[in-house]
Amino acid sequence: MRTISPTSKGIGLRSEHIDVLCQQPALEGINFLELAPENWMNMGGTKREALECVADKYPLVAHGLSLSIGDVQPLNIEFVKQVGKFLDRYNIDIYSEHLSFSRDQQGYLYELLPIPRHKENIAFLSDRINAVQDILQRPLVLENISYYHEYQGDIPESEFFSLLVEKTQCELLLDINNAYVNATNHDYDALAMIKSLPSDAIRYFHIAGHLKEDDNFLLDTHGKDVSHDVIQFAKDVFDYHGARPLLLERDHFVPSLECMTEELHHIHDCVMASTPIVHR
Amino acid sequence: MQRPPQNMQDLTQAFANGVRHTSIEQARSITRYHEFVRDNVRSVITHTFPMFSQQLPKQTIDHWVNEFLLQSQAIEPEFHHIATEFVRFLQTHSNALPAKVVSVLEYEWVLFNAEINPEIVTLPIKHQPETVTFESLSRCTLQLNPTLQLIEVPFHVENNAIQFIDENEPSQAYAVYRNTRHQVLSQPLGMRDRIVLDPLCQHGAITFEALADAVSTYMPTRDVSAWVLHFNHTNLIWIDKVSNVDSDFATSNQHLSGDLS
Repeated sequence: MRTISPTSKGIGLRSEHIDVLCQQPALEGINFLELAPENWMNMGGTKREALECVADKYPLVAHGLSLSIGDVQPLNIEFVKQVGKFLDRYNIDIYSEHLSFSRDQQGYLYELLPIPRHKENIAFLSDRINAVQDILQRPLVLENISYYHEYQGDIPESEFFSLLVEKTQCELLLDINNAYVNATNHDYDALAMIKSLPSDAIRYFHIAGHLKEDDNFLLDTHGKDVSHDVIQFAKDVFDYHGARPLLLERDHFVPSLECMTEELHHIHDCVMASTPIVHR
Repeated sequence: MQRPPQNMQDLTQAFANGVRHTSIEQARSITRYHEFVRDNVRSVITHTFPMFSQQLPKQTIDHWVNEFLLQSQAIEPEFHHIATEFVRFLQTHSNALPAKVVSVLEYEWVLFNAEINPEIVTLPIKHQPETVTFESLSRCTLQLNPTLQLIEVPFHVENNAIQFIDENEPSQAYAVYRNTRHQVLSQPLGMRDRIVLDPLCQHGAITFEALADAVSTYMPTRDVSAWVLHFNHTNLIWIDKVSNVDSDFATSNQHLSGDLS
């Protein structure tokens, strides 16, 4: 089995591609696959068979959707334990999730909602992150979401993440497109934000396409090819932080595996030009 | 474990309330999230329940999606369980929609559940359908497919389309299960099927002899044999060794064990 290195590149596992991935030997151009554990655990039938097949061929990374680490309800311990079993079963080292909440006192809302980035919330969130890390026996890798709502008194994202890393030794999944989208929509310097993140904590990168609305507002849709501007920004990110595994996301209008692999290689070639490699 | 700061509780709950209870007075930064959640829920419903969705005008579906968002107390974290939560929600609003429309929703949920059921559907290696003969049946025990669910509905399903049954006609029962090739099958059940399935459902595993005995008033053993062979072939049931049988039946059929050893 191959391992994931700083120069590895991967794609999100999509049902549209799974038959092709299962039918042929592991593709040289795809070094790892990322999947949402919630979409695969506790499932039988075709999904389990397909998962067994791809897990034999590719290293997997788990990227969760439903942890809701930022809510104020009791942590769903049973759910975290199920995720842990899934990670162990498929030898998955990296478990990433969104720094967001998906649940209120009424129940789950099934969306990644932004949390108030206030310093007084750090201790509470750190406790929850530590609880998850204790159960999973792995670092929790937290992603910067694209957010369209801000709370009064929010501190900069990079400062908030840095405090969480300092308190919990959690790691970061830096979504380059989200950073670009947020900086554009909320009018700040994306590169300055990126540069103030703790480099050592960054475990891997996401990159994806976004949609520009009529008023130039950007929506993180994962429905288009990655824009030229985001690729250029990604190059700056790689130049500053060094190479990390890069994952291309696509959730809508999913192209063929061949097209996605081509796009992934194009992006990787662009961002890796003269990039230092960080060996962890 | 730390308690969440009161201000964090207030802010996140107020934001979540705004997402659930959208109105034109809300800031765009909140209504946008309402639209995201509404679209997520609608997408899951129309994909998971296509026949249900065909029964209702788009505005009615949108109305119930909004009501779901407003009122549901969803407890399942996984996004695909929006489908399960929506069924639960409509079941608690029994007058929300005509009962026969809700029954379509429930039927499609049973299909969905059979598809993702974590049970492994594999036939016992030594008893693949082609190796079981009419003559050898008497030495076997029978088990239900572990993904099997029985449902009774006021409609027939033909070519993925619903045909409602007249109110004075009896409802239709279906056996829904996943076969060894991971296909979800929906088997319409007649009276004889239900008679044979009844003892199987009661006991989980049963010897062929006990089954034939239980239904002897209604069906001759030869018909029961034909039924078992047919539905073993479609994976609705499968034929297993006598040693796996429930103790009640094992006691009365111990003489068969020697034949298999």
